[in-house]
Amino acid sequence: MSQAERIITLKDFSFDYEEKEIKALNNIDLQVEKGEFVGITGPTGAGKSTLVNCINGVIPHFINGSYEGEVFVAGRCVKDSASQEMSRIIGTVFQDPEAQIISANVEEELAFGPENLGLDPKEIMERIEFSLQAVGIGHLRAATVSSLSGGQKQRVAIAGVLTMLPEIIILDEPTAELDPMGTDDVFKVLRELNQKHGITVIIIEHKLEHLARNCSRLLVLKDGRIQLDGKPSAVFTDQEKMKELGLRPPQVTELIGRLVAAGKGRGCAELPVTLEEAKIYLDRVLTDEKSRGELLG
Amino acid sequence: MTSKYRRPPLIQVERLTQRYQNAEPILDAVDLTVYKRDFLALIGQNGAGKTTLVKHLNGLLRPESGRIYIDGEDIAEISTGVLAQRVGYVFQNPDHQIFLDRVDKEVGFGPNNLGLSPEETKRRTENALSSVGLSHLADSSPHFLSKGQRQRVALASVLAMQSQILILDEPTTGQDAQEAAEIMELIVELNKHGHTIIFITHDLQLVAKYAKRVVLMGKGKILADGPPKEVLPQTDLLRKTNLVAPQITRLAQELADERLPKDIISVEEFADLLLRRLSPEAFLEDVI
Amino acid sequence: MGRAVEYLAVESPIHRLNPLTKLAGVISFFTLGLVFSNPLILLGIMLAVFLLYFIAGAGRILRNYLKPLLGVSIFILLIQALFSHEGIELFRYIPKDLPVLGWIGAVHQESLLLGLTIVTRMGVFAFSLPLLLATTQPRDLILGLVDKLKFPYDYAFMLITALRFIPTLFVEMDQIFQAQSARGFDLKAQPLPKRIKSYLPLVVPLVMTALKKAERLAVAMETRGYGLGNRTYLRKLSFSADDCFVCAGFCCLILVGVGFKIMYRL
Repeated sequence: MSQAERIITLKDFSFDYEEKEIKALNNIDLQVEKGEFVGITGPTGAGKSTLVNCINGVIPHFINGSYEGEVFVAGRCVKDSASQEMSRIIGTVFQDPEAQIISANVEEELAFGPENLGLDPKEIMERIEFSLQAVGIGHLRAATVSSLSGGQKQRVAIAGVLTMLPEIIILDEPTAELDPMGTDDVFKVLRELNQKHGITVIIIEHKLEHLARNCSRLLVLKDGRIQLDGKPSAVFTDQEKMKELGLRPPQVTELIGRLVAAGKGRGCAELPVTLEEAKIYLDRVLTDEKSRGELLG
Repeated sequence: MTSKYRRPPLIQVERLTQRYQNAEPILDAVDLTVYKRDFLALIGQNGAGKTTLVKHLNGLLRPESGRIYIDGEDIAEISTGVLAQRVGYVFQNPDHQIFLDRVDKEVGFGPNNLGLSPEETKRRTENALSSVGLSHLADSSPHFLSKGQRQRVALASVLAMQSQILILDEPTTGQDAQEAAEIMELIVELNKHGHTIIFITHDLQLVAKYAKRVVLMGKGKILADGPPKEVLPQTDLLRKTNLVAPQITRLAQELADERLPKDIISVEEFADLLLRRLSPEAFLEDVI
Repeated sequence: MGRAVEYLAVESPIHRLNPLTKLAGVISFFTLGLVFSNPLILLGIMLAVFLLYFIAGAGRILRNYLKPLLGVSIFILLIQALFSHEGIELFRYIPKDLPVLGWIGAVHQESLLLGLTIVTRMGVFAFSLPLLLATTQPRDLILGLVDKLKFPYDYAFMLITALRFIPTLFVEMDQIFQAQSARGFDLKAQPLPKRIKSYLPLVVPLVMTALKKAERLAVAMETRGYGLGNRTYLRKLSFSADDCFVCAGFCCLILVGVGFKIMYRL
């Protein structure tokens, strides 16, 4: 990974909150390349939110504690940059849709960020057009926030962050309060933003099925450390470690894992982690079995 | 499992309609019977009417038309305070409830409202805290606990009311897999001890694993009602209501092999099935 | 009640006016309300305000406000009728010679007039401000204040954000009330002396929720560049011919009103 491509670097980084004794983050070494879609998961209290808060600067600017090591984002040292400066590079979307939408109507909300940056109205308008289109909420432009569903609110929040034209978007359990349709909508938007616009996405979630489908890289945290780090297929294939961490892989992976463990699966280095992959795998296993039967029959 | 025709109905909802100020009814002449010791999952997209329906059961909402009977009694004239004794409702956000500075006082608030003696309140508080595994935090301030712990405090404060019927609104949202499993195991225990459980959730894998009965709602009506194996494999129906069937169910249905049953709802079931199919014995059976 | 401070998104001539014009209008109504003491004139002004509500398509909001204000008005009039005895007796309903009650027993002219003045003046004040809020988008109001009147942005922002969150907090309040009711909490059953303390189960969660939201909002704002310095605005407000006309109209009204008052000692 060349220096130029690395967009987030944490080196020997540790942090704990002011009154707590256990380290919230313990000797983290992490590098993220531009354009990755990184999923972060792990049990409660593992340090996931703490980690992303250290990346976007909320720690140390809003939250105090003992801060050791270095965090660099797009070449800037996070500790030494004002959080408003960081806002040009990183946008964050939080869990509670209500507590991050500032305005009463959508267009106003999208204008908020660029207005803060002091851009001229023509450029602000262009950015709003871009965000509405990229997130697929053009039809909501004139809507009042109170008339929106949870999923729509979260998409507005993403659009609001997008008007800052960030290189990185961080999301902390954005679909926790949404229904399945809302969740799908959010992930669809993120996939678009990542693939079409090259935005680096970092998302904390518990919904492993969605992470398996969308992320190019998965980090599993526990006890303030990164326990697993790799492609979803690599991570979920390590079934022992998953069990140790108290995580259950997507159902399809678990199923095929059991077949392989009983010696009945086809050989493969990594287990399928999405429905599509599992379908291909099992269709073949079952046709093999069928054709063996026919051969002998 | 006893046939439901032999069990007495505990809750009867008859033609319940609720409209608020909207043109479209949020509940449209809903009929539902809940039996004693049911373990019922109520599913449906946001706005389908799930929460509105259950809020009628403890009097938080009163029907525009229709009747609700609990234990054969029409609850129209019974106040919310009295109904709270029979129907416990655990809300999704614990911070909407917590207001005292000690966990045990918080849990004792409900029993106090029911007019119980201090000794009885203390006893129930201790039982409730021990059920949720928070006995060691009895004298802590609930405001400083983690979100998951606060959720347990909220649960304990409803358990302390010892109501026969328990309604839980999204009990596992925002929790990790381990915490979710612990809460569900607790609810299973409560059901074994005789409580009737109604829980609302979006997590259909959870429903497949724990619920004994699933009621699917959409646009103010009940669209399906039956055991998980009957309701969850109806992927088309679920998709119409913007729900997604468990991944394992979708996989079973999308595989080309026609011999596979289409109502698989758990990994264990599917694994067993496939292993038997792929085993030498089965292979020989096919040949011979 | 949360709906009362919300913007009503309809089209109307009043909606199209510049927010500062509308603010001037509210100030004018307040001034006229103070200048005049004659209940009939005040009633006339109040009815004029009502007319504006209908022009603005905000009849629903007016209705929401009418009931509570009517209640307070009746209360005030009753107090005046029972306990204030200025001026000539208009109507006696308890014979004078009864020991204590005789003193209360009559409605007096001046007291009643004062009551009517208070009630109608209150009506003018109470109804004019919500009309501004219903017909003006919060951002336009801020824009007007900050841009033309050189109000400091932070204060204007605080005000408007508070307004934007009032409906949200009412929703939370409702949910808190339901959550506590489900635990057997009954506000009406509490004895009167303990009444204030008995609001704790409602107030504490609400305050905690509000504080949490405020904190999260602050973080969300800063991560979108709030506080960077020179701020620009997407939309600019303009003054149209209608605005000039309306402003001139209000100026005339005030001058004429004050003139009449001096001349005829109304």
